[in-house]
Amino acid sequence: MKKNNLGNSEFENQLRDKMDELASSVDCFDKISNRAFPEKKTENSDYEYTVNELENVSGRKKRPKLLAATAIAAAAVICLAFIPKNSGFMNFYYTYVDKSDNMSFREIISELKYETENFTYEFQDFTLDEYIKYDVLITPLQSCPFEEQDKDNINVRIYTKTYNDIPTNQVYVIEYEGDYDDENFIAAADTKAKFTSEDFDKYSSTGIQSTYTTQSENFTLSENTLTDSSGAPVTAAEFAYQCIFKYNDDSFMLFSQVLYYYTNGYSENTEYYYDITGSCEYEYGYDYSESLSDSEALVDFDKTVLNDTWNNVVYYSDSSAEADTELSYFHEADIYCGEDESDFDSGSVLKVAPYSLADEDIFNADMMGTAISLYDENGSCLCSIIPPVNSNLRICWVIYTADTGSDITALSDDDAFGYTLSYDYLSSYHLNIYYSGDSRSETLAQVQEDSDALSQEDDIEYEISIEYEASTE
Amino acid sequence: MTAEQKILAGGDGNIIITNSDQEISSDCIDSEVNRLIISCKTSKESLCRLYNMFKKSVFAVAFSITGDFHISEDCVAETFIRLTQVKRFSPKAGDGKGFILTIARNVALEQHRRYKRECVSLVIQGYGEADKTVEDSIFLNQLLKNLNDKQRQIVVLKIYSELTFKEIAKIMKCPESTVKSKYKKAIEILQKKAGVGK
Repeated sequence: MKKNNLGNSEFENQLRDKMDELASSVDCFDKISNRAFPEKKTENSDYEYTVNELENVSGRKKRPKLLAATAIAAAAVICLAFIPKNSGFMNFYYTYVDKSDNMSFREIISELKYETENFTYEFQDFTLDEYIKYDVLITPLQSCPFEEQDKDNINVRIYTKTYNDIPTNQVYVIEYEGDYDDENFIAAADTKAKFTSEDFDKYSSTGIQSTYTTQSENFTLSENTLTDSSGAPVTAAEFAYQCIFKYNDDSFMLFSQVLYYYTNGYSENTEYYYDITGSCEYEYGYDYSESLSDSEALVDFDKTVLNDTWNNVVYYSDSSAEADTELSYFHEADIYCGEDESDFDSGSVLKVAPYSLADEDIFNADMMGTAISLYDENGSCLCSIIPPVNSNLRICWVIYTADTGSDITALSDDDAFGYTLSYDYLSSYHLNIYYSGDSRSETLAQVQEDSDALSQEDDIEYEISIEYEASTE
Repeated sequence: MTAEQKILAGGDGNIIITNSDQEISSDCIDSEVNRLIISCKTSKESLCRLYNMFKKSVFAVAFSITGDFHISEDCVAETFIRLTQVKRFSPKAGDGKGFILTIARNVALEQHRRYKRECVSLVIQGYGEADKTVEDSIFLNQLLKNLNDKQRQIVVLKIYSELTFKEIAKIMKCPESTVKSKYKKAIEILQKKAGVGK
């Protein structure tokens, strides 16, 4: 066997031999075949014939009787009624046989086609299971509209209308099986928010606002540990999300933040509490609040409007595909309080942004099921939490941890990337960034390198130290 | 044409024939596996052939997740039963081996979730009466317990099922670079624990 830097061939052989010996003991084909090909059981012994069977001994074919034919037809009707609504047969039926009964579904599809041809959209694919569980980390302003399916390989494609690279809350979601193709569509959903060209005319200036003023009275610092009101240890993270939001006939720039946390230990099935807060920027004449005195003002976002998001959520048969039970891992809670002072803003809580200088490969990596963990300078794990599933939400994503003055290392649990943040109180930061892969960040390319580059045959790892002055807040 | 026929028929040289034969047999195997998967729902013979071809790989994947011989054996059975129930398998979409091992992994993860409350540790469960089975199970579990879930699965898929990193990335649903780095780290840990030098 050819040796490579990724393993020792003799060791691999030893491991393989041991597993082979163990696997050789497996013998379960009889069990498999008995279940896959069960033998037909008869009430009588093998050596006895019933009267009906004797009638067939002559070998003549029996013509189905009228009663039997009627029963077959009735069975076919019953079967049609109970064919799963998301089966390929029903898709064919509504596509080619009866086109009149799924008007809503076809309207969504044709509207989507028109929209994507005439406006700018971005789209992303996820499994339905991912979207149901982690909807807040995928589309923070829209919960997953679809109910869960028992089958595997069910995916969703989420289309978001954008303007000057800023997302809007006009969204279409297509549920499909296997590959994305018209023939595989199962269900469709669209939001009530629909933007026209005129809606966008007033947004002459664009840009991402990245203010972070998390205010929460729910968390306190207790002996360098974030805790909730009951004293349970808390792990919290937050990201910012800006979009152009429309509700009824009002549209405005929305600057929102999503804070989510869990208590006690982390696992893959951890469930979270979350809250959304936001500020709406109005321009010229929108009399949303009596306190509005300037032509531009920021007013609080009324998040109850998020309960009225979806327009139609239908299978291609036009029956409802809407979820009637809450299966998300994220449960809404009141976390933001708007108080002026809290531990979060006192400087005693550190915000670690693991993706702030990540290159494109790492930024866009599939992190489903993979957490980012923070470690102190002794290598003790401080906390672990999953990042946003939607990679667009990662750029302004921070993890909160107590600021003890210790160096902090952020690592992805799959070891794909990480960095160490260390700083002294003179406000200069030293960042050691490493990642595997042979791509380089354009940002890092501009920075003066002072590092040892470790190259290996298949993976190239860089350790780069950069220094820069912390920006004053 | 088989390799033997090509040689008998003559050719340009052994090297060319040999390389060509390897490519042909590899494609033949892939096509054969795909054909067996499609036919196994109605043909016991096809199912039996698939079982004999992949029993050990499927067991290895299951064992890397459950760490228990009997549960892994059940996973083997469940995997091939589910294979006969597959409604849509498109050969052009992916290789048959990867398809089977993906089913095996999913079955093992389900079983592991179901039984992990009862499992106290990953080390010793009932392994049957054969001393050799017990000895091998203990050895493997003692080694594999030093790895996390994903590292264990990747090591088994690479070493035992002999998949490429790309194929493993598809099964594990993570980037290829992640698979490589996890595998590298896992081998380092195993070598260190087994006292094997680099």
